[in-house]
Amino acid sequence: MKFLGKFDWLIIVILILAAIILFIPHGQSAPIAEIYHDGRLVMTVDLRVDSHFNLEGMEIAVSGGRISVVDSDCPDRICVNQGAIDRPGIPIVCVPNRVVIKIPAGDTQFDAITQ
Amino acid sequence: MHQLSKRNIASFLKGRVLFYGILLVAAAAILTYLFLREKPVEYYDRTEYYLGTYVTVRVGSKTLSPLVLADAAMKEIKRIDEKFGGRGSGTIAQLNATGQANDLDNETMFLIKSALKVAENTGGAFDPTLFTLTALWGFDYADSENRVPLDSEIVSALAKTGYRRVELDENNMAVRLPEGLTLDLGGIAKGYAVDLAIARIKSLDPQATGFIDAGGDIGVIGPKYGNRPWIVGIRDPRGNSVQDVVEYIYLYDGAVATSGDYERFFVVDGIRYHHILDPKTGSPSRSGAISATVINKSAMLADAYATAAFVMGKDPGITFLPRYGTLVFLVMEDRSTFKSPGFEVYQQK
Repeated sequence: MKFLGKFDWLIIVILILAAIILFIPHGQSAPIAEIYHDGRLVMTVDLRVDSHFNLEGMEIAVSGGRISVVDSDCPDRICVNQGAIDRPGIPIVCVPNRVVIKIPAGDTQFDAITQ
Repeated sequence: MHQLSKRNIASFLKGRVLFYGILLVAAAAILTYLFLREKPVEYYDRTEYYLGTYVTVRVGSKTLSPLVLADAAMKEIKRIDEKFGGRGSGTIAQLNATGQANDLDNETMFLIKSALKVAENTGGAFDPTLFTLTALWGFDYADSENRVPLDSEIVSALAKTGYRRVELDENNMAVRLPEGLTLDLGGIAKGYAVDLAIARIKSLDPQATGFIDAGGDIGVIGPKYGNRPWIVGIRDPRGNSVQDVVEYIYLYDGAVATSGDYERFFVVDGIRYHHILDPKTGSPSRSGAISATVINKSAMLADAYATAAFVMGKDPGITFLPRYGTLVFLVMEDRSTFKSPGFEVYQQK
């Protein structure tokens, strides 16, 4: 007599498959940028889709997978001069507008840059 | 179905129940383990603008809220910014105006002494008295106008420099500057703020981990998740983007700082004039180095020695730096590199 019947094997296979699916690391998430205002996450932007929008007196554009501040009402315009970013490491920060745009560090190559 | 006797059915069920029982217990055990095992620390980031640059604190703790730790760190950095940063006010500004200061506090004395010590150790390649020259070239404040001064102007400004002429009276906590000499602690205040902020976090939670990045001066609070290094990229001095990196280093503790000719510069007639002045010539240093990265226990010292290493270049003097706990990585004009013996230790995980 067989110790385990067909259905038992079916259950075992299903369990193993379920375990594998649960333990597979979640695949590379879509490239996004996070926009913080006053330290709070106010917006996430998909970097694969070109877009253009205004936020807190800043004109922000996504183009070719990179995000940049095109125009801003702040006095120094450091954020505009910084140009576009497409990798984690150095965020775009606008102190007068209290806005930080950063690309979240998922599985990245480095945590910080010395410069 | 097979035709089974009663006994067979009983043992069949027994085996099955046993099998599923074991499976159930194993699943419960795994779930309990997953639930009870230590969760990795969550890191909290905060970025604020102090000391003329963006300061980022990334901190994680098992016992305290990282917000509290980041707050404490930022407060400390803000205090240093108010005391030693900025223009026109504070003890140092007063000292420069009058040429004399008595009853200085321990912290100010410590900073002045540290700056003079590095100047001595580097044969004057780092010099905290170059402010007159810095101003002459327009590198003193962000809104100053850059220009190439006349040779005669450089010569007369050079006469108002020289760390050896700072008179230190440790018994009376007093400092005296000869006529015209200006003390500038800007070169080490940023690193000092990082060191202090780390000490502040450690005093609240000795097990806290993370790092503080003050415009590229990076000090480690503790290794990532307690056992992994923080990976720091060294900026490519001629990269198209600030994100381009020439080398990686792996830091479990200590600090790293970089001086580069790309930070502040202007170009006249195709010549790049950068902000790191050679105390000997009074002009932007032409040692052949375009970027100098330094690893040291202290962010303050890393900051000062990085400036010195940039000015020294491949000068034989640079081989003395490891004896002061300083490891150097230079990128030269021809994109060749130089490493202090021992630097490669930090290039392995």
